[in-house]
Amino acid sequence: MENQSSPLFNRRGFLKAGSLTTLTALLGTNIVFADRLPPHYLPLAFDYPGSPTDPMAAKNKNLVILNDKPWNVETPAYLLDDAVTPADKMFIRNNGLIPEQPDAANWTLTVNGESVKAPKTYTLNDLKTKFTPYTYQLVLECGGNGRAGFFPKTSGNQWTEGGVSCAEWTGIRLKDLLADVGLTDSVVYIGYYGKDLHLSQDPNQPVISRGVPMAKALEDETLLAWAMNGQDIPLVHGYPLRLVIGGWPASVSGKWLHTIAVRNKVHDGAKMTGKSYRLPIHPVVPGVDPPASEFKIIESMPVKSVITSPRTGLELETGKPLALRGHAWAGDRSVKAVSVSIDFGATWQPADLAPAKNRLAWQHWTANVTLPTQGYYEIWARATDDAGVSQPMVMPQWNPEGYCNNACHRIAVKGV
Amino acid sequence: MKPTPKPRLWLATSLCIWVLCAWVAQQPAPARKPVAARATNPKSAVAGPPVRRKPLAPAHKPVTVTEAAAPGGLALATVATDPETGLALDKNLLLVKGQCTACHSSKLILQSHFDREKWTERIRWMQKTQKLWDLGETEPAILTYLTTYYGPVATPFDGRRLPLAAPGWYRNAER
Repeated sequence: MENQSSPLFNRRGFLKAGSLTTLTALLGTNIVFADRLPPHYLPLAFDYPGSPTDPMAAKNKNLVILNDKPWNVETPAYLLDDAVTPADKMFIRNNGLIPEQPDAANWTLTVNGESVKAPKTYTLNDLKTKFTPYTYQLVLECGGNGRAGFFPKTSGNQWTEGGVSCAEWTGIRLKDLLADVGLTDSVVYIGYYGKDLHLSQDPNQPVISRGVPMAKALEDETLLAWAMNGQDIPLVHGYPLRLVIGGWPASVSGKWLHTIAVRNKVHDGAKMTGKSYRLPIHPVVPGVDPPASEFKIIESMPVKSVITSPRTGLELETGKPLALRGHAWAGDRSVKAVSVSIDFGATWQPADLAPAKNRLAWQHWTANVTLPTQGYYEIWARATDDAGVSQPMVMPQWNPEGYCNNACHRIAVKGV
Repeated sequence: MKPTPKPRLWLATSLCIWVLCAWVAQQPAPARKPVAARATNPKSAVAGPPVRRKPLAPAHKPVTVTEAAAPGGLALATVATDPETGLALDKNLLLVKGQCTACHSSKLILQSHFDREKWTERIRWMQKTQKLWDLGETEPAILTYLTTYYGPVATPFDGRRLPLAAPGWYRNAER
């Protein structure tokens, strides 16, 4: 849609006063502050609920919509029960509008920035045919997963447990591509650029452009992926090409990827700066919001686990064994142990924990418990990573943007 | 750009759509299917404080009476909400719809519980990074609206972790 050339707009992209007057007359009411509408803005969007590109059409109906402009949708814990997260149960965290009909046949990826010997552009077919493809199961977790558990409340979508997935991604290693491009000695960071559209519908306003330090970019598991679970990546998850960088806030895994900049400094794209995806350098009293200079970028996500079966709310016969299962993950680390408690953490019993399919994949755990008497119980799960760091049972370090809440997952059950 | 028949047709079509939308928006609309019908189920507030639990707006009522956190969250006020956005009905709702939900979903407001200072900070952030324009003399009215209906949640809670919200109890272990 070329809003700029539409007759409703003047050449600067503002609604024409004449049109506005006519509209006002027709509607019999003022359009409040229409003169302050941003340039290019038409109150129409193409990924609205019920539209042909409504991402919820292909999703499990029990996913929870936190936001629909932009789309932010979480998966209830019990729907994360699959070993590998299927597309219909994968959470959505969008910052802008989904690009309309990306053209995979003519899709290109450009690598540029201060630290490339020369910029180079590849077609999607080049990537698929000229490099070795790899497949990994990779955990993608929203940096704000668990935000709903912070008090005082922090701004942003109120994710509970379900801003996490572990799907099987196929693509090429970013390090193979960067070796083919050729880098200088000045490399510090990579940053991505994608084709999503800003909510203001200004095509020149970047939506989100984040990245990782070179050491993370060059890991074997850092992929430029075109397939998820053996299929084309669904449009809402980045079709036809995206970065997949497991273990870090999922916002570093840029969707609808068209450019990677190799930087000679920490990438300074949209949502890399200010307080976005950052934590206070020094722990703060809950409710205290220090200046932006006192924040650091989130890197590896903390150790965490989820109980995927049973669904919270089960009433079961006292004395009968209850099988529990779930997953655990630990950012760049692996999970060493998972324990479960039915008495609010007074006692813990170890769960059986399987090794990860590959580095940065989540690990599956199982346990059996028995409720000794009638009444209300909570089942808690707690994972410990290979450095000996465990999930807290209470709210972890409060932070102004509400990131990295890895408090242990709890479900309610009743003995009857 | 010279006016040609085609742009005029486009303009006329656009106006028709606008008028139609405005007409639809003002209808009691028994058949309107709100987004919320398949969304924002009560479980989304599993870890949230009890006072912010709001029942879904029934689809068949033009104006729904539901619970909203009163200032300070001390008492549950009965507040009628706008069926289109779920936002509290108020003389200043139009300002919010014109300047906030023009760009983003009302769900971002509905999930929030901030004091005036934090709402002001959010507006400044949107102005600095998200192309939000100067709200001018309407800003105080918008801030009053936001803090009245979406102000801080007051709970007798020490800040570490709330009790779990009551789940929908079920007997069948098979899902």
